[in-house]
Amino acid sequence: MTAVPTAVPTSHEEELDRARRLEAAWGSPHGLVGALRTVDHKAIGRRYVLTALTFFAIGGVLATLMRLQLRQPGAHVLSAEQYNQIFTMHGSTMMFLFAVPVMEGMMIYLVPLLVGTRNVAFPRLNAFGYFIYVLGGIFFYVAFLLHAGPDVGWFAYTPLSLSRFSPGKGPDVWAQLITFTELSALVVAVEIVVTIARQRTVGMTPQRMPIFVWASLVTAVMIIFAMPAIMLSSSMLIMDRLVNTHFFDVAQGGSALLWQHLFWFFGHPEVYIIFIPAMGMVSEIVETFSGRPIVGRPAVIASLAATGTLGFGLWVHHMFATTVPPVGGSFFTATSILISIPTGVQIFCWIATLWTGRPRVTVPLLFVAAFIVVFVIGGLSGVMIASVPLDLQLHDTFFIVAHFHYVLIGGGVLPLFGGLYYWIPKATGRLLSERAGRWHFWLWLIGFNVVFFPMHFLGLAGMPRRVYTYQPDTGWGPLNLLASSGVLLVIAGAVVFVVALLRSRTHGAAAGDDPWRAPSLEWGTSSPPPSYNYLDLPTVRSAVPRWTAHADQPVIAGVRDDVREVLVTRFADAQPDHRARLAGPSIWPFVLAITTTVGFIWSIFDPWGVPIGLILCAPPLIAWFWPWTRERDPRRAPLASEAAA
Amino acid sequence: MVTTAWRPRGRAASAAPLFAPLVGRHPWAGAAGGPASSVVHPASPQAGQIALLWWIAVGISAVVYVLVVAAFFIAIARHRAQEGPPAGADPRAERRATRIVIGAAVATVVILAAWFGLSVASARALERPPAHPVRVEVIGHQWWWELHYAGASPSDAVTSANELHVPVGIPVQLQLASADVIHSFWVPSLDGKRDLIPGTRTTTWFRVDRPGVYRGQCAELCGLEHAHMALLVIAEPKAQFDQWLATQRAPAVPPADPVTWRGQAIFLGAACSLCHTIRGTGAGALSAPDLTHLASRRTIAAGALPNAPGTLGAWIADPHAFKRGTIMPATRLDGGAMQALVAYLRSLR
Amino acid sequence: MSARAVLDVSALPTAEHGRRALVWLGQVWMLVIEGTMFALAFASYFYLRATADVWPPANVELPGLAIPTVMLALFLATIVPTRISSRAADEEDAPRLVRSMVVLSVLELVAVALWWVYLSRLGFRWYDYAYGSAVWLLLGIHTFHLVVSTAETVVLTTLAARGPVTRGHYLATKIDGMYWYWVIGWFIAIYLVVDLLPRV
Repeated sequence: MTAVPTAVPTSHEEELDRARRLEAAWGSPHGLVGALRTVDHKAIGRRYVLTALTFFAIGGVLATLMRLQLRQPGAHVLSAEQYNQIFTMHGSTMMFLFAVPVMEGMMIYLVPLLVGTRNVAFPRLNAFGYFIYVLGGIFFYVAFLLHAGPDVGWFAYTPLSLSRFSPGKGPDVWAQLITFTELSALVVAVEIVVTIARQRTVGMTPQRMPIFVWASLVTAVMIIFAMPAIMLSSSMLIMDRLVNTHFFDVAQGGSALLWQHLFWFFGHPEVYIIFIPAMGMVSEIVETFSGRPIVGRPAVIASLAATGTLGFGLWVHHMFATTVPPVGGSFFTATSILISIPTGVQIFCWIATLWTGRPRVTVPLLFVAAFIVVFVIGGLSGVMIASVPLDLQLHDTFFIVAHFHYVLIGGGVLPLFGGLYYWIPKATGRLLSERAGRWHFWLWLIGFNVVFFPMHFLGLAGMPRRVYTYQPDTGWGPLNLLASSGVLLVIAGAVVFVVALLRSRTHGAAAGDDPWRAPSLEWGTSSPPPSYNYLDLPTVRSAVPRWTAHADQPVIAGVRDDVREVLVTRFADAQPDHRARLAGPSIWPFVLAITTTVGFIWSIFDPWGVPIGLILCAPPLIAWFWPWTRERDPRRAPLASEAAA
Repeated sequence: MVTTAWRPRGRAASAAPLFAPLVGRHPWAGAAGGPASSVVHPASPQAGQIALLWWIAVGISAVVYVLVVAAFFIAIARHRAQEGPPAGADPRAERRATRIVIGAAVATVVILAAWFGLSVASARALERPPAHPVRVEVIGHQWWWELHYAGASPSDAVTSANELHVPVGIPVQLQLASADVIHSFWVPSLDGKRDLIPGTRTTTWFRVDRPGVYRGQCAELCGLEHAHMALLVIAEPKAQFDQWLATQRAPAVPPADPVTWRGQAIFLGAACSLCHTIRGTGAGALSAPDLTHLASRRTIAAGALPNAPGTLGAWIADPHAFKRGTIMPATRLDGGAMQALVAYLRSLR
Repeated sequence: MSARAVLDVSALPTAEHGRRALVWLGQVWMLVIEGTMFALAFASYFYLRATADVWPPANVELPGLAIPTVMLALFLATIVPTRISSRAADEEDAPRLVRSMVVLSVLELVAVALWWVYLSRLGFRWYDYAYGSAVWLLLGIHTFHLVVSTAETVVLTTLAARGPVTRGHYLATKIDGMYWYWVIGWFIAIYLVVDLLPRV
């Protein structure tokens, strides 16, 4: 349909009245039970981010313990068992409980605001995803505290992770954590894809989508194709351990390397699942603080898509040392080198944007600077290890530890902090202290490099990864001590951030709707946004809508304000298609998450846990979709013909 | 033989004196009085080739890094604090910006293509198997290395552990296998690593050009004592190597005095012989390192301890104090008996 | 009182069914996820087949061809009622929808029963060599989807038969039909790989 904009009179009273009706329709229920029932993407996104940051802190504590142990040869802070458990917990926590969920949280919070709609496409699924994630994380740490933590690395290579060599429950716990977090990631991915595909506001064609939304779309599609590999392989691992299958058992015709193929088919895209949303954040920050539309916007978008595609073609570069045929080696070297090109293009575009813009140096932009300083080193060392011969020397050494921390902290965490300083004012209505932000920036920039730069040299000097100690005559002591000392700066920076965050709640300056003079839609609503996001659903006519809006840029009218209704648009031209009713608060996603958890945990001890879990899940699932009243469920609403009759 | 891009030893390192002090040969990294272990101080043409690649990569990366970071900070600093509409409004500046971005992207592609060519050429050179190598079979165990040198006849075969002797100047080909989990063979000064995978056989080769002792360590997480799975490569001139091989071929030296006689009796009577072999005696079990010539080795327990009377005794009495995961049980012996056992083991040259 | 430009969408339809509905797109992506999982399970099968010395192992008895071939015919036959019910949903023709769904439910239940017989007669189990594990992995995933899809069809049929038939029913019928086509597609892949391939 092509609606013709018309001018209609409006008044303050009318707006207040509408806001009241919208709040009644979209507001979250109160109290503890209300908190469990809410389906507001902002509440759920905030929970994701806060929970993930908590796990980040826990992972940081584990890292500190490892650095204490390695500060000198032959230290006795941790035993071999403890060290192996702790690096496994650290890796798994950072990948599965921090990095991916925090990016999902940012997407859940931001995407509906950025595309100008009122909630994600499947709100209850969204709530379910969060509960599964947090219950998985709690389960993982309870097992760790009960001395059933995994100790075979976050990659759990077979045959080390098979029962013969790991008789405890550790690898089962690890495999089941994967099931939890990947289930959560997959439901997030589906709702993000559908929200972006069909709920963009009128005029927001694919070319005009904010780059963070593009990044979210690419990430979600990557999750959809990458996560099944790990769900499948972790299930195969647990079956090998519990019901005597032989997928990875060489003696019975299985293959030790099959695990590595499946794991890295997921594991490498995983890195880009963390990295691509971060690149989206960098683009948003650069655009806002340079005060001009990003240079080479189509190139930036194409780069994100190219990274997402190429990310699936380089998993074997984790396996060069297992012996890869020459042609295969060249192929995976080529793809591993190629993937640096789109990232290079994005960096050049950002530099050109700042060069031709009027940059305002604020804390978010400082974190973009930190990203450039740190990440480019990781990117360059990544190009080095794309080379088969060089990788054979550096693989599985501290050089790699340095490399991927430069990539993941540089390319994931630093942009994330930039994004947090940028968007927290929107979420809380309070600005974070600029001074604290600068302290945080300097402490992390220096501290990070003190910790990780020496590790390059340790790798070159022959120090392998995952060793709980080393001999004095290796000469690795002094550089390790230097690396360990840098941890103090990193901790100090983290403390500054937490204090700044807490203080902003009481002492922060009011942010107003748009503290940054930003171009995207979310800065047009109040800070924090109301439960329904926008009183007047905006329309857009460019990629930087708030910089180019006409005085008479129309808003959308005719979407019901007394029920949870959103406008659905067509994918390609972003023109109105129909109005759809979204589900409201419900306790059943939470109950289903609990029964799912029972099934998952039960199945570690007894294969009957799978059917029992399925049976337990049936009642909440039915209740979830049950049309309790006709009015609440649009699909049960009478047909037009019935209504007429 | 890998000679194509190989430069005389030392050349690669001297190519970048700025970085050279930071790696290897320095009191705080690499070989601090211990055996050599450094990617950038190669002792073989294979490692030399890779070290050359490394320095090329470091050189290019340093230039790229400085350019990118400088451009970023200049971009931020240039118009800082200026108000007014950004230059984006000027179509000429826009076109120039676009051209520069395209130029930078093209330059990136060119550099990366060159790097790809270089890498593939190196890989090809390194993949060519050597002619007439010395062959050694290496079997990874949790957590030690079993080594077999084939002989003209089966009785000429040599079995040893954790100390790989090789002749200088002659290529050595290793056949790698695993008895349990995945391990990875890595001696940084000699070549890149190669995994030992259950159910598959892999191979690697190198030629040591400089006599010396080189340190290596398992590079793939292989369980609890992954940190204590080192090995030494001892490269010596051909004549010396042949002599070593001849010595290793011989059965164990029989005890020469009452103390070592007693020691042997203790060894054969206690649990030791259930796992270890000493050729020439009744001990022939295969699940632990062959001790026929234990005294000729520099370390025990895969590099966990130096091989000396005191450490050997302490290890036998309580191996878990040094290597918690080892399956070797503690052996309770009174002072005299332990002394005799150690004396016997020390006599196995 | 001030005036502002609005784009009035109140005339648009609500709760669209068929391919334009959000749920339809959501289901497509869910099937993409499940399909990726299935495809990787097949890839694992072929990887193990390529690395094994003998495949299937000499002492393993291949599944009989009779039941799977009958099932194949049955699955292909279900395409007709699935198409009819889907068309009926488009045309909002409730009686035809119910009739075709009843037929479909019966056929699907027969398929489940046949599948049960097939599984119980199989001469090897998942713990018999990597071959058994790889085959049972495929069979297991198929079992899950076959049962879930059949349960969904039966429930929908019951609800539709009870009436009144709403938009929700029409949408769910179309989604169920899509799921069922997907199940048929993967069954054909299993038929080719597990039942036919080892014989050629």
